[in-house]
Amino acid sequence: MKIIIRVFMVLFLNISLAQECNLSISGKVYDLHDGIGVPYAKVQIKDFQLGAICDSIGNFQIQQLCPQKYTLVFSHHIGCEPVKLEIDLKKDTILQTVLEFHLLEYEGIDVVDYKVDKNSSVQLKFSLSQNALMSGNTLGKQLEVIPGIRSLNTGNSISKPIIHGLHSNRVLIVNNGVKQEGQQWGSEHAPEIDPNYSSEVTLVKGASTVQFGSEAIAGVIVLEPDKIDTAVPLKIRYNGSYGSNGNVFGNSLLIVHSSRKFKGVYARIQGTQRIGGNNKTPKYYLDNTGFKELNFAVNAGYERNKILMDVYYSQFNTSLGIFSGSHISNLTDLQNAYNASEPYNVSSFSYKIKNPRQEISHQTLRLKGKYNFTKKTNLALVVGRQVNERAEFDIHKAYSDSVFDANKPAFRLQLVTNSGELILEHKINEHVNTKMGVTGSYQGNAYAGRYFVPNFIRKNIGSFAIVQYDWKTWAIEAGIRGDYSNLHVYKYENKILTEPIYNFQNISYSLGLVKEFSHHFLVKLNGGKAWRPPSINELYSKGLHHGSASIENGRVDLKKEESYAIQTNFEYKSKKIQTYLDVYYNQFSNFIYLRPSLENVLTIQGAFPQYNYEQTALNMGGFDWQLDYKPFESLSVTSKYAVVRAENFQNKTFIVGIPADRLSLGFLYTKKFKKIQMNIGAESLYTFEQKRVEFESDFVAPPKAYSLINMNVGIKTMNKNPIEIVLVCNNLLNTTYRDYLNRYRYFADDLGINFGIKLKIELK
Amino acid sequence: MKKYIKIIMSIVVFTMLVVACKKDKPVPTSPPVENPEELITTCKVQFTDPNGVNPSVEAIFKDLDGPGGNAPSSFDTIRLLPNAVYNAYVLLLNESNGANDNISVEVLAEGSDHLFCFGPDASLNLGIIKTDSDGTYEIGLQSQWTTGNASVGNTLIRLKHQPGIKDGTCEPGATDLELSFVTEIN
Repeated sequence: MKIIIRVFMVLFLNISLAQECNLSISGKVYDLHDGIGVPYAKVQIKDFQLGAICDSIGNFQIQQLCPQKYTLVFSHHIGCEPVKLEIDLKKDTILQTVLEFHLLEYEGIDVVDYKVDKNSSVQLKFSLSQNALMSGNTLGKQLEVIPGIRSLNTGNSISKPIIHGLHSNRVLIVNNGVKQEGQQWGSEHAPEIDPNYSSEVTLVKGASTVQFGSEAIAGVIVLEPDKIDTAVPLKIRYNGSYGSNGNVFGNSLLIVHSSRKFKGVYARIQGTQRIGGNNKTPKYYLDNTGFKELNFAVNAGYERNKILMDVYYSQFNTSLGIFSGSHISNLTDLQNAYNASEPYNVSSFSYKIKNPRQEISHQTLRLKGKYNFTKKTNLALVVGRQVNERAEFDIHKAYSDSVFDANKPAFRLQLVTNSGELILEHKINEHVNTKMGVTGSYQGNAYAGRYFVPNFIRKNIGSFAIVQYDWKTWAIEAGIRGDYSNLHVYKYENKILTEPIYNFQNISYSLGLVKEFSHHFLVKLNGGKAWRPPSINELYSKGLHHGSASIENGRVDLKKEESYAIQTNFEYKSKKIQTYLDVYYNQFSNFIYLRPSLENVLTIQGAFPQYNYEQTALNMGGFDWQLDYKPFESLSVTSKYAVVRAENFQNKTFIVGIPADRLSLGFLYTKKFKKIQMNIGAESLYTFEQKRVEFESDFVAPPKAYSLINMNVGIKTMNKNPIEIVLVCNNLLNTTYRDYLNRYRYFADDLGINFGIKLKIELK
Repeated sequence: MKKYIKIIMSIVVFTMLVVACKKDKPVPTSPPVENPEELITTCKVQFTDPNGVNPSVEAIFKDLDGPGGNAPSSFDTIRLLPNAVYNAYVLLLNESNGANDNISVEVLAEGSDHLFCFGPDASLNLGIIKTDSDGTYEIGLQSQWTTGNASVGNTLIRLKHQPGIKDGTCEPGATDLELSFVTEIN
């Protein structure tokens, strides 16, 4: 019987091959390490009994192929994993395949564009669009898939990334080639970015960060859209999501067009709409925690031969409520709110957004041009303009007449940034790569209404150079950057204009080293110096913050903050085990932080604690660890552990706001059927109590440790236009908890159970 | 090709217009437009004898630049006669930047959102009852203070803003005013 089937299949194959199957794939297989052809590598076509063996210099040819999708399997010496390459054959194809048979990309994932980026910078690349599980979340939440990234949350709608325990103006975000310039001061100010346009996110730490400027102390998050696939004239991606907690609906549509008629011309258009209502903790609703978001982006360009021209415009608009229970007036109120079993503002479900609220819009216009003089040399020019507007509305107390005008914000800020960069890349030879450039920006901020930060103009100019050297199993990368920053402040003191001027200049540098010890084990070592000038709120904030019941005083004579950092990465990958360990140590001089003052301030609203911006030496260290274990092809077990410590060694003091340790354990079981793939996963997350805080340095003690269980079930069709549906459940046991990094923890519990459904459709 | 160049150009022009043509916005060098701050700068507790026998008394707290900045310019002691009855009225003013707004009027107009609370120390021989109402609960702009024998202590006066959450108690809401007056009955 078996024999008959086999014979039949062979016959069938022959028949189908007979139908216009006269295409061929030919090419050469190179080894990434030495750049020479791989002799006698085996090239097979998966599921077909076809294949070839390379000749002594790596050339191969496979003939009589049909116009359809094939998966090529390249294998070389025994003991190394084969590498798969999926291609959609339409005509005779020549492949110049550079393959790394070693550890960096050992996995048999179907890769369409196979490229190994051997870079000594610590880079972690993740695909956001692939991860249907995370879609519909804020950028901060979506970035949490990357080991070492956590998020700082204010409720459900405000979220910003934390790297190595640092956030805000110590983490730089580059969105579509432009450094994001928003109102980054304050933990309740999230980056104004729609994650749905970008498909790929890279976390850069180490030498390559010098390209992006100062402030990249903890790292750089680079967001980029999918590469244009010239073979696909039209690609449509739809992401829909629903979450039961807050009845959050999200829709996002991306259309990518690549012209066939005019080769090299492409366009993208994308829009996202999200709406959410009041969130619910296990016991009660959180009043006024809804949001509305509407974003779009358009992009068009031309890339062919030596030229790239690209224009991009995006708008991000959001209106979000601030939990009304968090708006309090003094320390007694805060204690009352904290001790209450549930907030006084009893609420039910509603989409309505009342005061206090924030309205934010961010526009980005970016023009990019690139010219490839030769294959080895190219020059790129990027100019950008960003307009960031933020209006904050307080609870109106209905005292003066003007307050009846509820549409008038308590204050409004407008930040306009013009930036430009010119970067030259030159490959000296196959081992040495160089990159150098100049960057500049001109930024103005203006406010109306209540004083928050003064008006200012900031000018920055910087230049950098990076050299990469790649030799056999070694790689070295060195980067250096010089910056000059001028800050001109316009401030009214007793109705008289004063104009303090600040100048900052500094050199930052970084050196990285990579050594591949075997095909499975890699070590990266990085060290360097980074800095940032003090931000405007650290210099000039003054007055009462209702959200935290405190008086914050800036300090006009702050110096630049400097950091000397060293980090080591260990990566081990084999068929069954993958592990990643990132150990880091930062030594800060002049670390800027808010220090509680012993004197309370007497006001008509009662006593308030006072916080002053100060600088201190600080030592910070920790590790991020991840382990994936695959006992079978279909099951993977993942464990993560993140630890950060921050301490001033001299006077043995801790600082507030350092993330607590976190440990997680999860599994993912995947079952492939003929046309569909199903998976089921669960994750248990344990967050420790943050015990390393100074006694009475915070209004209330950090919350207790907690554990959460999340689950997901997904189904995906395996065809040209895949459809993916994922059901998720967060906080499955409806655990009552508070998180140290959530600013609402003083006033209310964190979110209860949430059922979500996510839908992703891709059409080509 | 021309068609595409046209499309690209029109996108560029459109986006330029969107960015450029937004309505006039403040520029960094121009003086910022200040919102008149909704402050209570002054609290006067005014005591009168309903029988017109004892002299009237007034205790003032004044902090013209609001929370932070300069310290309050006056914070009086409440001095009352022993074994007497006073009618008290809390007058709240905004005197910042030369304004002179009577905020007590606004508190009365929004009576169902506001509540005064009075907390004399146990050491004080002083009884305070609120004598006005929003229809359901007391407000406390007007109250009656009954003194006993000579004594010294503090009287905590609070104004709570309780929109939609007023239940007659002091706990809910945000605090608009919280002052602890030194009180002498002598």
